[in-house]
Amino acid sequence: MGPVLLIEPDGIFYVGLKPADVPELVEETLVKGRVVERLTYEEPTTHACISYCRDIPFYNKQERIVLRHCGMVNPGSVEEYIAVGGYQALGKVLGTMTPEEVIEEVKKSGLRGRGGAGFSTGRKWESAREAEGEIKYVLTNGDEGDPNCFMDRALMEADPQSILEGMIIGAYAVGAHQGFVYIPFEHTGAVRSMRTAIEQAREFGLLGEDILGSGFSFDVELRMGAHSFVGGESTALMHAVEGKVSEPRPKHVHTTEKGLWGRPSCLNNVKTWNMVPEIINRGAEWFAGIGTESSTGTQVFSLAGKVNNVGLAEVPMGTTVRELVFDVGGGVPKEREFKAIQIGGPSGGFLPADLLDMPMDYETLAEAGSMMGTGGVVVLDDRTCVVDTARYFVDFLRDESCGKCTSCREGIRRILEILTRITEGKGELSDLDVLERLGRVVHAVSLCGLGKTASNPVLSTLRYFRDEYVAHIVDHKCPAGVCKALIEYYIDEDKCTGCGLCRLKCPEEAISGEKKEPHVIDPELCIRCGVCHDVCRFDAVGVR
Amino acid sequence: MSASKAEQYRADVLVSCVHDREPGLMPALEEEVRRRGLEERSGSSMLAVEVFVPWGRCS
Repeated sequence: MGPVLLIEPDGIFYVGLKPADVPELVEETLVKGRVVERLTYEEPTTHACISYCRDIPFYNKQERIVLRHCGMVNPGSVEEYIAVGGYQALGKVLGTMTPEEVIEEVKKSGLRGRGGAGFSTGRKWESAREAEGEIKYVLTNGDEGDPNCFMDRALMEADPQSILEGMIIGAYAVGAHQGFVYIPFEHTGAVRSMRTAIEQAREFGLLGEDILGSGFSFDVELRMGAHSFVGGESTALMHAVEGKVSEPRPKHVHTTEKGLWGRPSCLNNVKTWNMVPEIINRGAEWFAGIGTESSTGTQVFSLAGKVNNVGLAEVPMGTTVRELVFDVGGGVPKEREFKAIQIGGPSGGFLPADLLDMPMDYETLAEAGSMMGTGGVVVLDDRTCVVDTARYFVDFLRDESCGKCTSCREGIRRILEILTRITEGKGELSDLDVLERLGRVVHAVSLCGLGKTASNPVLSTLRYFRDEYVAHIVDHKCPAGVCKALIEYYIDEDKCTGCGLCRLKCPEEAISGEKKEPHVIDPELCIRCGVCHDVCRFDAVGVR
Repeated sequence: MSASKAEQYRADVLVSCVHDREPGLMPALEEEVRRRGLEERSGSSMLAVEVFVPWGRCS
């Protein structure tokens, strides 16, 4: 869709803009108040032109709590944040509530951590408050490591003050006077935005000594480190803040009791902190009324893959997969068939089309073999091979495993080897049992969330798409036509016009034929790169 | 934020480019708005237009 432009107060929405469109846009819309129809959003299924943001399903099906200020408030201006009600919640907390009352309110809201584990935020705060120790810390986990996810990064870039406000409220509740925001170096926009926000909050007396004259003091430091998937695990992140190698440790003693430098520490994801001011302002009952009984509020999903509308979408917990993919996401492009959805990031499980009407909440997703995770979503269409996709994500997890646990380090590697064999047509049926056993062991024995969830991609695809594994092993076929060792490209002579484009583009000179005559592919020379398939304008190149 | 809130503390018209991924787009827009005298309220203009890139710009 992008670059998109929103013109308020009317809510006119333009997409796919280029500098050359500017004179017409200014003349027609800003001066004459008319909509330039050719720049409006075209609905992918009905092809209707939609002029206003509020009429676009991608936006009007959303309920924006976390993303409430994104695109509306200048992240570089604390004044703008204050102008839209920012820091009112902090004023209320410091002026009228005890720490216990704050914790009770957050508990009543049912808020669960949005970093992936989904633990009760109020109970975590209570545990940190009750932990013994004079010095306590609060931390923000900004180490978003999932590929194709950018919820946390976007939020830190667009609305950093809301995260800080949530942190200050949390610090007051647990009794901390020092906080840390951890962000990977590579997320330069988020680093810049959070740094500015911290400096401005200090200038305005919202951080530092005697905040708002309440007697409560609290300050925040920004810490940066190298980006990694496992670095977002709570103990690994605390190690990184301490300047150590970012590896998880056993959590038989919770970090709320012994966390950063052995002190009671309360770590929350950026989205969790961001929700806290809204809960204080609008009340726990309001928040608890959104979503389901056990999963309250909203979730921000990062929509990616074979879906028309990619991007961040915030919907109430309990929204069905169908609503997310087809109503918000606009369905599968090119009228292909929906095949599966992976929810929860790279270690999330794959769910089939049979479960399209399943509500997405923590418990239901876990029962189905997937997970909420941080909200990463990848949609697969009928031309995606689930075995190959599972192999892809297991390969990512193998790369990101810190290697501390044998089960994770070696187990994921063995799973990857077997999956690779299957995609190369060298698998055996007994491999499927081995995969299941290995997956269960890696889940049961590994120390941290990465290892415990790493086998989800393979276990869930075995559960729902076993036939596809069997087709690779027994029939030596890839039903989706993806696995190179198991496919063959051919040219349909009835469709081929002999234009010669495929012959010109083929990097191996594997295609021959006279001009205006049907061409042929030499299977011995073909490396199955698929270029001929992609460039053919007559749909004459097929896969078998 | 509702449109009415935008009017309260910002300009009459807020042009917000959420993703500035087209080099030259926002500078061109800012220049055009300036050239036409739309950026500030004045006797000759009923509008005050503010061009805004909340999530960072590439150009």
